[in-house]
Amino acid sequence: MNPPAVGDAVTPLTLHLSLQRLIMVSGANRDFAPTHIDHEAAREGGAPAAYADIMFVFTMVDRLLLEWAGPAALLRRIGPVKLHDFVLAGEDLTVTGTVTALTPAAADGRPGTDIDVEVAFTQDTRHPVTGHARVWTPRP
Amino acid sequence: MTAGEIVARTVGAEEISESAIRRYVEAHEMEWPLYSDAEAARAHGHDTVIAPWSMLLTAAMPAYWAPGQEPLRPGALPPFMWTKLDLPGSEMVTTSVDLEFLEPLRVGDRIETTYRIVRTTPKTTRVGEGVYVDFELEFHRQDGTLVAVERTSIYSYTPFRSEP
Repeated sequence: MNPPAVGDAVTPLTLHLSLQRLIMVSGANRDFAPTHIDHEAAREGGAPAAYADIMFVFTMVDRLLLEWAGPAALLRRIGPVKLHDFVLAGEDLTVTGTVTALTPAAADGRPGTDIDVEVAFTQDTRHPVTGHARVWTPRP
Repeated sequence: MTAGEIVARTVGAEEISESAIRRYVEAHEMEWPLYSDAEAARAHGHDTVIAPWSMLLTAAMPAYWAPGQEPLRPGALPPFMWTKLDLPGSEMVTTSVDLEFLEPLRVGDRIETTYRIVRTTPKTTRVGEGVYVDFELEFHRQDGTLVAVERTSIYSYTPFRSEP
């Protein structure tokens, strides 16, 4: 990764969020709340379809930052994250990030940089999740 | 419900295992090498693969059921403590979540969580009458090391009745 600058875009993530995917996620993260794996249960609660849980949201932010920042990076923070709407099954999902700040910081005694990123989840014209995250990279 | 008071303490259902990490990586298609490639993890100072940072809440989650307990009811929610804290009101929404990671999650770590109330702010909103509650959760592994802190705000409320 070239040294980032404020305003740089992080390499975005895109995926189709199928119900099958949410069921795999539920088996892995142990959140078996019916609204995340059962369209009918989600609709009874007022959502249009089954929707991802907060742990899935955190994990997509984890992927976004670390797959961009590389193997020497450390994930420092996910948040604050605001949930505005449902991240719905059956729709494509894009997760994007923009660098907002660079701060010199040491980790494990090594010099490096804390990189603050503003994150947005997009499904069609909706932005169901927005938030911030921080990843640390060693000085090259 | 007093500010500063520890209101709950829980322990994750199991130690973090390589198989749990593998299933997590698979389900979320995580390409970051330290989660799946032990050589890459060793090259960055770890004994073997580390768990995804975002797997924290899974590692911290108690068991849904254990031998000797009542059968799980259909529709059971994850056994986090939010629904068991006797907060005022009948409904609850999470308004903001913030996770700060201090140490990587390692194979063999077992995560204990303490829940502390930092602040309560009564407020009437358009949906009802209730209270904003700011929590701080500390996650420790079994050697006592603090590995992460979560700051979560929820709104616990009684909805306004719709007019007959």
